[in-house]
Amino acid sequence: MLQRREIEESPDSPATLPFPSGVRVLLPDEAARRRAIEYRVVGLLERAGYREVILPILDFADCYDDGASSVPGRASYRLVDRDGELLTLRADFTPMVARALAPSLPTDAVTRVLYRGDVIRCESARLGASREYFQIGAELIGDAAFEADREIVRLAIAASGSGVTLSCGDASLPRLLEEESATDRDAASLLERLRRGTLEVADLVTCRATQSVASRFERMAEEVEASGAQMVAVFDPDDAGGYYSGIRFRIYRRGSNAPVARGGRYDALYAKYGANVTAVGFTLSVDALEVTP
Amino acid sequence: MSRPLRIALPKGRLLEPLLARLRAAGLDAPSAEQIASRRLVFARGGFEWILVKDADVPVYVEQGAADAGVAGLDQLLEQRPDVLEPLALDLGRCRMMLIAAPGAGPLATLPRAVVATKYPRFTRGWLLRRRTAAEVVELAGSVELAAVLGLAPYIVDLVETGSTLRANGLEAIETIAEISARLIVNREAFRLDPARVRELVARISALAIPDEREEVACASSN
Repeated sequence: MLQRREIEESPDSPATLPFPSGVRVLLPDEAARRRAIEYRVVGLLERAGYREVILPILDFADCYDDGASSVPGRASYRLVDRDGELLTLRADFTPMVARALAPSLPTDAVTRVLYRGDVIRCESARLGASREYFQIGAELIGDAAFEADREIVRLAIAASGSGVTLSCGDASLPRLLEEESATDRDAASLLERLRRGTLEVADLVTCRATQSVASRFERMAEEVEASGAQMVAVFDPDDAGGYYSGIRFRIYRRGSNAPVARGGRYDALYAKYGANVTAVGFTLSVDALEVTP
Repeated sequence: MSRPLRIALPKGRLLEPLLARLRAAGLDAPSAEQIASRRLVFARGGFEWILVKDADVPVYVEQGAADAGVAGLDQLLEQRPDVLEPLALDLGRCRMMLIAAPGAGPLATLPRAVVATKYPRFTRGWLLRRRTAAEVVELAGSVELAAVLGLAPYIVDLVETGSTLRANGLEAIETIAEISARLIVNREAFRLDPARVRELVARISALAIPDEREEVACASSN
């Protein structure tokens, strides 16, 4: 009989172990594909006036607690520094960009930045999901108008490639409807439909509080379809989680149900870091683009 | 996406009543014999039906291998999958309870109590929320036996009628959660084609618990 120890023991040196699950090596062919995508997308953003910021991979964990990140604290790697400070590996670019830019942002001008790099996450994934993601993103800061949302959506679609579907919701709906539902029975019934996932754009027109959201959706749908992409309006009751406060979108390529880009508006995020400015942005998952050519 | 919506159904005691209720609601669902045939994916009535172990339904739906499914709230509380939960169904209703061996007394009195359960993650979270220090022993089944034989003075398990407890002299201490089956939906399936998901929810809403709104609200705050 084979002893359990003999089955479990590896005869080889640990140096020949594969890399841990969730990370991967890009050999020259794959690395070349990633670089090609990176050059194309960074070029697109630079031509649109976005300038690069380079951010550190380590930061204080405390800065991203209490909902300042869309990645829950338990999904980020944390470590204790030599001084006893709790640090975190970058798990979400958007709040870090806000924290990095807030001290020096002009309040009377629009700022456009792009970033690229890895985020590291330790989500409790079942199917060997990645832990290291390469992202490229853009932030348009200081412009609360519909035109800013449209610029970010256009860039996100252009970065994602042709024939994509934009799935678009709005994180302000639960708050708008809750405020209104005390006095307006229509709003209360819309709120209930939102919770069930059965709310549609046509419903938003019937309620005073949400009419402006409805008209923004109609304008956005025209823009998106003119650009050759398809738009689906989706009101997910959980979209209000995290820092989002307005439009929230995801972009899918045909045949794949993993989004290649996601983004939205977060008008209160920069205030947490001391700057009273609005912001809208998107992040492209370069890994997802690599697997769906 | 052009393929039909794929719906995962749980093997086990819930299956027969669930299929009967789906047919009564006007869905052309397969029979239990058809769905248990050697065909792993059964196409019928405009849907694809798959049959998996009840604890695997949340995995299939969360990962998108199925677009929707029916899963017990007990499994959702244990696994915490990132899925939509549009409906609580009037099926598989029971209670998640704290149960004690004879003479074990209230849980709080022991300095380090031992609790046996099939739901270790949920039980640890519940113990933390009620500020109770206890060790959790994970078992795969027959959890009552752990209390009867002294492996653990307490168990956390589902109770339907309470007859097993009475037959073994066990004491139900408190109800932790009211359990029922839930319709769950993959998030990306909803985001890519909300109209199809809305239609499915509308067709299955005949199976919903009439006053399910409060229950859904308290489940999502857990």
